[in-house]
Amino acid sequence: MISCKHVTKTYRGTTALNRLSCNIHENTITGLIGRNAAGKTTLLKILTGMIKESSGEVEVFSKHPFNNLFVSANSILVDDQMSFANSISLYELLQQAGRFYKNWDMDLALRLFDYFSFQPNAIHEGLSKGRKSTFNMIIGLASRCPLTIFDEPTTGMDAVVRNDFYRALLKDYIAHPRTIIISSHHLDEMEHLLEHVLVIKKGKELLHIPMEDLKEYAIGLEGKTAVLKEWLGDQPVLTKRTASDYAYIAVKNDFDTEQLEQVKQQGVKVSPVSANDVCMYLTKGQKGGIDDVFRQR
Amino acid sequence: MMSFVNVSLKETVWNQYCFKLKSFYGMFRSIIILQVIAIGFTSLAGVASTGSGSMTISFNVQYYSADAVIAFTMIGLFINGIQMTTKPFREDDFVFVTNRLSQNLSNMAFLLTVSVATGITALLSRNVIEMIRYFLPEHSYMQDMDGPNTWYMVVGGGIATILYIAACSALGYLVGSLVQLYKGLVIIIPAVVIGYSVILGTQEGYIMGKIWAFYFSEHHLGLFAVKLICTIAICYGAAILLLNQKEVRNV
Repeated sequence: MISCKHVTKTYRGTTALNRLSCNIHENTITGLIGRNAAGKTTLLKILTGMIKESSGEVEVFSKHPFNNLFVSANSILVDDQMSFANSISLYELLQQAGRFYKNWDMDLALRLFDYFSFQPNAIHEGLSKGRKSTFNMIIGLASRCPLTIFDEPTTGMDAVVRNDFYRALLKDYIAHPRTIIISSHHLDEMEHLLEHVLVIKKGKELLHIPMEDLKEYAIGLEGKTAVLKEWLGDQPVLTKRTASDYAYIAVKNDFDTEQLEQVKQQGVKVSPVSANDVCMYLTKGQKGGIDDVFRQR
Repeated sequence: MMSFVNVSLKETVWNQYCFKLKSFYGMFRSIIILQVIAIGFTSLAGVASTGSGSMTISFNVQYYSADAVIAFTMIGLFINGIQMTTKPFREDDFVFVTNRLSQNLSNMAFLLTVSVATGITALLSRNVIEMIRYFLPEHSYMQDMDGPNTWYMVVGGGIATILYIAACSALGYLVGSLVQLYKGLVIIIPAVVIGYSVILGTQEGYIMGKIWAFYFSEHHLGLFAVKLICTIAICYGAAILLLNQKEVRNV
């Protein structure tokens, strides 16, 4: 469905994507996870033909997306930069969207429009940030594009609307399966939605695995520093917190049950690491933590 | 499973054109406002006047025509042409189905429609001006001078006016496209055009004079139409090429 090979994108000297490769399969929900400026938005804009890659190969529905009408007709990018004409009302925007997207479901659009109590005569520019996101989400869902992309869709939404959004997305996805990509910082909130997770860091793919595997990707070990040190050797750690001679260490889970039993007997507590934490540990910078900034002043 | 949809370029351009007629309605309005202002100026002051007199008699001749209205319309369409290439206008299309070619073609269709509509209202404004003059108190004697009095002149004059207006919008669109590619041209283009016409405009036979003669001294309507249509086509063609690689929503 989507294939990227060594895709690079540079903007005036800064590299947003650095030889990124990935494949996304049809009718799956993929979460795109990464820190700010990791290149998430750039990737999504390349996939929908808004911008053009500097080098590498991009294929969406086996076609190059830039300037391709077929890709444009079958995909939609929902983000907070959607620029709607301000001279026409929200209701007219829904009608116009229906003119362009052939799978458009006006009934669903109007039901959502009504549920979130939008004023038909309101103007998009006059909406608050969260309301804009909500309206854009309605366009994204009702357009029923085979490739539907949400880039930070929940910007500004309150918790209630966010939950409604995830539920609406899931229900509509089950009723009308399609390929969905969501980039977001709230992985913990959408864990139950996602089937795959693509983690990118500094413009490069870091991890692309099923959600179930991500949940078991790492384990947390808590115990005496000396014991942990001896047991782990020089195995790379994802994160480490120490307090006197005790430590909490998260490592990639390459152990079998027997090994884990052994370590438990040595007084080490073994705990799962949530998918959200795994992503956080994987994508954090090498500069230590925020605490280091405030040290030595 | 979601089924794929196929759309043709023609269908997309038509959809975008209909969308623009609705959403860019403000452009029509701004041109009509300009025309009303021009009608006001012309009715009150005329476009030219001459007068003479002796001891016992004096006369004052004032000329009225729709020229000022047409000129205002041309300037307005030139500005609209530029405006259509600016970021907010380009991005409006990209929330729906589009590519750069369909966007440019629908913009062109829209600008041509505005040109025809406002060209017709500009031509009709002549009658409005006459009517206003008739009711103004200082009116004394009105003579229709070289107004169009045959069908050929009415239609020919109409076509010529609309073509001039359409050419202005096409030129604006091209200038706007150039500026989108290189922002520095915002200063360079006016400087070159004004500077060049100041330096060379006064001297006969130079490029500016030739351009002027090419467009404004053609007496044969057919030949004139061909010249103008070619100019319009070249402007839009160049703009399509220039904007075809332009990225959108690139912060």
